[in-house]
Amino acid sequence: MVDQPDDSKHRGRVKLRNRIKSIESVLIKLRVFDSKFGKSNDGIVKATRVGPIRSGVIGLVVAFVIDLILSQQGTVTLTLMVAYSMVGLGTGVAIGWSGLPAFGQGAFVAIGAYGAGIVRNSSLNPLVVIIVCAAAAAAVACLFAMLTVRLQFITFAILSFIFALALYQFLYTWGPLGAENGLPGIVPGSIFGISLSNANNLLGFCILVFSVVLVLLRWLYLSQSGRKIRAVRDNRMRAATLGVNVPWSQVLGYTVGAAVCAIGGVFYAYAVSVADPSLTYWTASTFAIIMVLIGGVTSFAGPALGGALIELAIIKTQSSAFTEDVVFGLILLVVALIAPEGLARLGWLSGKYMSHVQKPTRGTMEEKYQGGEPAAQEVKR
Amino acid sequence: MSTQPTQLEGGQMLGQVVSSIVGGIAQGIPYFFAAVGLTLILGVFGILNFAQGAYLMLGTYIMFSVAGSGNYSVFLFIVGILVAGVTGAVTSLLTEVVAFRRIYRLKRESLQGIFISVALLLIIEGLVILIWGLNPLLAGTPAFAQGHITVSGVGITKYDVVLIGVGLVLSVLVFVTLRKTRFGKLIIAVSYDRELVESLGISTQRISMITFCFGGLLAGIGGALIAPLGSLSPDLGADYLLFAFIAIALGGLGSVPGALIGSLLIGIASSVMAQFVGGIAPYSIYIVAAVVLIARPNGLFRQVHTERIA
Repeated sequence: MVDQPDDSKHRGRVKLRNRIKSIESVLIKLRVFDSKFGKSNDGIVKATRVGPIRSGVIGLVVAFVIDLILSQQGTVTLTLMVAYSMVGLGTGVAIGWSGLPAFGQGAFVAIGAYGAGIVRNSSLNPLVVIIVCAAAAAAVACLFAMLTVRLQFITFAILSFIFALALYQFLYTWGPLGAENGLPGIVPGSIFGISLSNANNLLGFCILVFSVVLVLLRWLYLSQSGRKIRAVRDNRMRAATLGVNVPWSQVLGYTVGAAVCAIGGVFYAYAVSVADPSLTYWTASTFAIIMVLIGGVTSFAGPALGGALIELAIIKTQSSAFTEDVVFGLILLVVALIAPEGLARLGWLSGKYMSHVQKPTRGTMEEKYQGGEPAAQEVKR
Repeated sequence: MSTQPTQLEGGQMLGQVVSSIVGGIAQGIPYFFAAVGLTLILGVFGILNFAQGAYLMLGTYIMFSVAGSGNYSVFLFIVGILVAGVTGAVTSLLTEVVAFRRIYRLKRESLQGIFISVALLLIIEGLVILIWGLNPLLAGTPAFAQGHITVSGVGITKYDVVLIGVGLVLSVLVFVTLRKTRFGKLIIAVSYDRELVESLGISTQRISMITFCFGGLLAGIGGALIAPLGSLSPDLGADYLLFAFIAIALGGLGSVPGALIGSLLIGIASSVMAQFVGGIAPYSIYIVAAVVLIARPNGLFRQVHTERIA
């Protein structure tokens, strides 16, 4: 009789725990959580529960996107976000995959945008424009990288910065390309009878191209060439010893990154109808770096998310030059100081990353790892 | 009779060449002031400090605020230079304390150092826009340095002479400081082996702070000196940084004498090409820099890359 209230309380707790677990498993299936909180059978601490924060971030993004869709300029903004996702991806390939200090990615965005601008009166198929612009940027990047990847790290950084600023000065002063006003009135043509002058059609086409680019990049990322590019980034000497052609891998990474940035540039020009020199100014290249840092330097798709978020932030705040510079400068400074690998690599935002981290436990090494069993389990896991 | 016009043309030509070389040397002096801090910090810490452009740009605005827009006295000119130098030094010190101090232990030439310095350039540029606005401002020349002087028939602007004079004095001071003083020798020692210097009981933290102060001071002074040359805008920092980068790359990364020679070469080449080539002159310097760097990655005057800085 005395224990009855305790029993009912206990049953209630069990019921609540079961309910939480069932909700948790649904969230895991929806990939909001990475794995269950707690220890695995082998005693290694598994992922920390990162759900609430990640859910909050996803919720915020969804809210912004819904707000954009409902607003008048939403379609154009979404197109710009997808375009800058490609710029983020391209910069991620150059900096994150290849480990090159590429500080002039804005130049390739400008090549794409100006390419679309130059053929604006020719009613060319937009797909052809995209392929030609990507090929042009890739050719320029390939030439640049072939001449410079063998140089010192710092010299490469300086030359990429000089290249983008030299292009800026050229575009800013050269009359036939509109000098400081750039090339206005860029209207995309039609593709398979569908006019891309309609903002919704352009957005759909942009998402389609983005998806194709993402699939191709994923293929490259997992291919032998992609693994070589990343191996060179992690340890040049080791990669070279294993027979990897180090300069060629870096040239490939930089070239692919430039081509993707140029595709982003074409869509930027289509969305805002103008290509102007500011695309290749050093601040534009800096924003591309922030996109990569926000998304995670070595992450595959992170920079795409970073690109979309930064572009959204720029458009939404409609800020003055002061706010833009100071706010984005502060973001870059803080992220570079506390998480140089990028925000997506922070434990509290990435469950996957945490799942590989072993918490230090007490006891001697012999007690913990007898006969190498935990290591075998770790590999299996 | 027929040779007289030819002689005149030849004389005029020579006059123009000499005039553009003198103008080029004057143009190269501010590049050197921006490049000294850049090359010192690169040599000692392996950090490519983009913020150096921001200290220089801040110096131009300080000069404008102190001296006003033209016809100011020698006293205001000197005060402006000093205040700009001190502001540059303090700003540079702040950036060292807030950000750079945290990354000295990383391997040299990491992306993180460049990210931080780019962020600082953005922040300082934003703050300058907040205080002085985006509209271009005109500092004007001091009253005593307006007009031209003629030496053996060659016309030279008075302000170019002032720039060369100040540049010469300060360059000598920089070299004496780096080669003859204890501080200079310590900087060189830290650039060779930071841990060895620490193990001798010397505070490398203090040396880092002084190095950043020194770099910021010279960039601030350089900024003050370029203020009268044209209109001021927040973009000035990146523009001069670009030439400072080219200068240190040409002279050899991490070398102060190399930075001086590189700066003067760029100044003279720009000035001579602007005078005689015209159209492609603005881009020719980039082409020359790219060709030199690709052919001689360690700069014009170096066989092998070392970390010697003075």
